Amino acid sequence: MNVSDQTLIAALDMLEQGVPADDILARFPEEAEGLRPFLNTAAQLSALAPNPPAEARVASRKAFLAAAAAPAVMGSSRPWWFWLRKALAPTLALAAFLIFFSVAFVSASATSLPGDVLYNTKLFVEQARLARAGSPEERMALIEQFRQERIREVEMLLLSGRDAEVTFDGLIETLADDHWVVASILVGITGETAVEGNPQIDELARVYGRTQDGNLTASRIVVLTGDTLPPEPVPPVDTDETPTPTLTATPSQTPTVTPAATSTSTPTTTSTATPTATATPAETPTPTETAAPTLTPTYTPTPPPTATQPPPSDNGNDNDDDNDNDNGDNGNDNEADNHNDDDNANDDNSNDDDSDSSNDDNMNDNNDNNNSSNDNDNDNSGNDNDNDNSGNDNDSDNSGNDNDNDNDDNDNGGHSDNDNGNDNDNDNS
Amino acid sequence: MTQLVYNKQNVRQAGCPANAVLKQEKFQNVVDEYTLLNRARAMDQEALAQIHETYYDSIYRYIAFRVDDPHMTEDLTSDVFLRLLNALRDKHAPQNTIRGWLYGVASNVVKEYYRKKRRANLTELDEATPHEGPGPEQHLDTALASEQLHQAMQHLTEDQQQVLALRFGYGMPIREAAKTMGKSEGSVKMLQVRAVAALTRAMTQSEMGASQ
Repeated sequence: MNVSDQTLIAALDMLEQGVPADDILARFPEEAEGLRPFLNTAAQLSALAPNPPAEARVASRKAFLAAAAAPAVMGSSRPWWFWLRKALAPTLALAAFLIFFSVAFVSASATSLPGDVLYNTKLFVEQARLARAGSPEERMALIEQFRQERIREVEMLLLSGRDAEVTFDGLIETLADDHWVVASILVGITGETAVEGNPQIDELARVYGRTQDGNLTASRIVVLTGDTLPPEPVPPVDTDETPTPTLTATPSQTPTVTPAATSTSTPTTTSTATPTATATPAETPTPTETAAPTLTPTYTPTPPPTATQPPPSDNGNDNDDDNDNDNGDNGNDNEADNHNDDDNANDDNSNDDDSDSSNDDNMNDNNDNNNSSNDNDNDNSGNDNDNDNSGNDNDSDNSGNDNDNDNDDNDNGGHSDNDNGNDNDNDNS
Repeated sequence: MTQLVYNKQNVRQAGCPANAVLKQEKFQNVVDEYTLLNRARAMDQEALAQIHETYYDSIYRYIAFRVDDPHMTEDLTSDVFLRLLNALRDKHAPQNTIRGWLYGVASNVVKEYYRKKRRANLTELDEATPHEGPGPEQHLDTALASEQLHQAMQHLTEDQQQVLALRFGYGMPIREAAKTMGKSEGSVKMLQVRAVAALTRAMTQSEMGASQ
């Protein structure tokens, strides 16, 4: 049937206007043959939908009006939860959208660098995480994590050659007239650079500067000492006889530690030692020691103590013994606490390296110590062992592994603690 | 209402009396329907009866065009009007025009019917129970042709079925069908021609198959 679309459209129009089919066919004689079945179909379509039976119409109207007169039946027949869902739907949709958006926003900000739009969000999230930190140990770990993040940001900015204001903390590794190296980052020093404090190698410094074309120029450098460090790590002090080794910072007996304030701001280690002091009060000798060191110790924590360790002539032998015992103990500890063992291993290594007092090693160790700072804290929580040492029970158990483990904890907890642990051992023996 | 007043003014200012009369009638229809709707929202029995009386046949024919079952057609048509009642109560009723709204509901009702039918794993027309048919007064050939047409329509596209149901079932003019379907008048005309041509081919083929 070779009939053009135009002919078909015209034919349907004419059919709708009531023109008889024969007249339409006569109008298009050349296409009449193909047009005829088309018109037949159209005519049948018109008859395809019959008019409704009268009784059906009446019945429908009766039901319709009856339903209208009975609102209770037809009206709000929807269940209560339908309306609740309808009312809450926009709120839930908005909440879902906000949650999705905020999660995406925060995750996007995680990789932002200074100068980025989302960088403030990143800092805000960090502050929020700090505020939510449940324990001082967790807080210390976060502070250290964020300190490392600042350093990483500076490295990224230098690599990308971007221009941004930066601030970060790190150990001073090199001191020269025109440049310093802080946290392995080359810091340009100009005549306008304001240096506050007495900078020395291995001391902690806070660098304020600007990255530009792959170079960092410091505008201000503050040498951080125990006094200048931010007061975040201050843990609560328990004076009463709380046997639990809470992180009482002050009492730490490590008088030797005073010099090196250095690297990581994680003072946790020193604080850990404190419990020993609190527990020991029963013994007369110890208190005298504790009184003296009170000053700075709170901050001395970190690895730097490496320098300090050598001085304690009293500790020298003790430390050796402790380290030996530690290694052996670590083997035993594996059976008990795998996590603690790993921590101990790192801590022990750091102590060993510290005794070598090589600067390069110290730098690397600092990072390790920082990471393991939490572990130390955890170990400190086990400082009950110190208390045990002060007791006679340890003496009777000297041959056992338990005492060794206890000593390990002391060693890991803080360098100064070694004194107590070993002293006790010696006394016991 | 401002738009309506504007049209009324246009009608008064129109120079052609015939055009003015048409516009006046259209305006009056719109006003009447608007008033009717307002009364229906208040569950005015007289208004509701008027709506049912005005649109029942069109809705019935539209549904009958697509559903080859008179009883089901009656049920579905009644369902359309009951939904109108619910919409009036839930404030989802049409704001200005009832006709277009009823068509939309009727279209949904037919779709739901076929969806439920498919779910019930029933074949659509091949195994359809024989209905009472057009009645003994109608010619047998007409009944057979009607059944063939219904079967053939199932093979058309959704748009083609819609345009045929609107034009031949609902009785909608081209312009209104185009507005209802959201298409241009030319598109609707072409769609209609293609649908009738497809039906014609299907009918021809079925007749040839029956003769062989």
